[in-house]
Amino acid sequence: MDRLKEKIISESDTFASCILLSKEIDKILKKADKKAAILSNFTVKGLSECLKVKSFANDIFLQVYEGEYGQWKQEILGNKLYEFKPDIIFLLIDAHGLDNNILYENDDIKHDEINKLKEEAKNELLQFVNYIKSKTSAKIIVSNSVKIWPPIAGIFDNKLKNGYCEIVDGYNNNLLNIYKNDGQVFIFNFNEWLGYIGKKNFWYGKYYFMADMRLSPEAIPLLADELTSYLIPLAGKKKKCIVLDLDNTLWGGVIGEDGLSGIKLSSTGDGQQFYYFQKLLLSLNKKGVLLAINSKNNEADVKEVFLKHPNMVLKENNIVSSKINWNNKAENMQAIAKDLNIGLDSLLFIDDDLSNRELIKQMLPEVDVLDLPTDSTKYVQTLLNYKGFNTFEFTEEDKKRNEMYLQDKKRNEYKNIFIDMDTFLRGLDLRVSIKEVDDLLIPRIAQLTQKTNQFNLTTNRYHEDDIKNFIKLGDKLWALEVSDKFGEYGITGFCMVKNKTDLWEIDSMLLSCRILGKKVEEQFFGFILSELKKLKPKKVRAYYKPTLKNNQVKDFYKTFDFYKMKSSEIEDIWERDLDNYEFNQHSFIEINKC
Amino acid sequence: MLNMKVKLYDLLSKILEVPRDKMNDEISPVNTPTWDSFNAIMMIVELEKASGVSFDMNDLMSVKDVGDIKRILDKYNIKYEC
Repeated sequence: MDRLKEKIISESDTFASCILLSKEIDKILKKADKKAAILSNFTVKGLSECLKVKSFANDIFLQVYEGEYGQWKQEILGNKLYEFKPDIIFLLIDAHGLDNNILYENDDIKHDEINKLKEEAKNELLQFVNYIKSKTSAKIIVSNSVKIWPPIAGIFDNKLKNGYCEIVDGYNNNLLNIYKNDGQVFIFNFNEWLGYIGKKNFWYGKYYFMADMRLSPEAIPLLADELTSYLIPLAGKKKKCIVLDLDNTLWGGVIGEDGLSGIKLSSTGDGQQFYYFQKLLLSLNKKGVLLAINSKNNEADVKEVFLKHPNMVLKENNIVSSKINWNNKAENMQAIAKDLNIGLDSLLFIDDDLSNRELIKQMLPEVDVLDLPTDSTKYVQTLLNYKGFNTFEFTEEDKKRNEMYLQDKKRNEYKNIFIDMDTFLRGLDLRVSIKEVDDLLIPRIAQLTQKTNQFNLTTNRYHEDDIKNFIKLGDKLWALEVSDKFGEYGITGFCMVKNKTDLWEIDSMLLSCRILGKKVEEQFFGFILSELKKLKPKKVRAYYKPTLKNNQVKDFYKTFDFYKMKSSEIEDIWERDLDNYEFNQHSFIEINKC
Repeated sequence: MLNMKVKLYDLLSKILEVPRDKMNDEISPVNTPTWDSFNAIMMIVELEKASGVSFDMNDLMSVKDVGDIKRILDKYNIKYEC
């Protein structure tokens, strides 16, 4: 599998090579991680294959359903699509009618008629999207419409009462506005993307006239690559942290040799490219991406740059972990993952030095490595094109993440002062709030189920709509919020209990790794058992489903005196009665029930 | 790129799934079921990519077999190997 992945990364640049590589992927017998459906009103033959290949390069084993050519409406109204049970549906709809009628007949069609056409195209699409929404909670990705350049009316187009560009823009803006606050439907800016790769070369070329391929086949692998932006967060493969080299990455030159005034880093002229690269890193940091440093340098030299260089955009408080020493970078990388309590597969490594990149690729294949070009003026574009930080939601926790990790850093320093655990915990002033999940919490809870790997008993992944549905069905959903004297951790735990006729069934029980080691997990689950007992002292059944990452919680239920009723490769089943259950609240944790 | 020879038979045999030593001028959509419209597009895309040339649609439409492909490559002065 790893060899195939390597092959894919080095060879999947052309249309034919993608198609051929997809055949190799098809030979692997494995359950799909995710299922995607593609419906389109123009030929995108080969997109399924390319999408599989590009997903594979991102460690996602994708199964694809491709709608019959030209039958996207029948597909939506039929059953086959829903029987496939897609996790995501790509609806690539170019407002064909708009083009044909408006591009060519613009001058002759009256104002009202054009507006009517625009409305009709939009309303028709809306109806179909709404129908999909009624049938499935899969994410729906709807493309906007391509605006061809140049318009027939030329420079006068934007003076017309209904110019071509104005109409297509209006249609596209309308789509955006309608779904602005919809967590299920996302608009794919197909028009801008196509402009970026080149409408002149890839749209309505000779393949359109030969095979009705409006989008040229050379562009299909590029489209697949772009669409992985949706598949990565869908499959929970989002990266959490960028690990940065310093010399020739954050600034030009070598600090140890060139000195503070010799390195290139400037808001104008020479060194500007590094200044803007740092600006981009800072924006990502503000969106919840953590930053760490892995550099071979003297720590004092680096500190001086951070403190004294007038054009340093990144400051020490943007960096949550830093390893500046002469150790090998693979060791440092592991130490950073350990510091932050995140998996190696949550890291992206950025280093201008090819041998360091190779070292990480060889030693720690889980870490994603950005292939930084030798020309530093291309750094910004390269990182912008990296897909691993895409997300379907941007929560309060994301905004506060950097700050929370900095607090962790302080906590750990504080921890070293104490000898025994209880003294340490007592000194933290831990405050725990346990809340029933309401509408406001739904996005964060869905995010937690998607992202939590280690302390997760069943690893059941849910979307926002699923959570809404559980609440509606009367299941018991609790969220855990934790804070201490250093600051807030936010919503970091979730437990869902299904109310079955003769028993309580623990469907999900998870905690973010950041709060482990403080006995909060015991208190959270203990509290839930006591609540269940109050509601009805039925039997409780709980599950542990092993994954590659959750071994640490294998015996979690044993600590609560559950009996293992059944054990298999797929799951362990644990049970206990509640009649004799007593909740021991730790004296050092304050619990608020909301 | 332009001085490099296009590896014609390698390319065609991979796409058409015909062994390299069975490739000849007479291979065509009539005697080779894998030469369908989709694979035909794949062949064009790959040949254009390998040669850096964009073929005229009329030339492409005139292709009836592998011999015709060679004729077109000659017309565009593209060197190839079999």
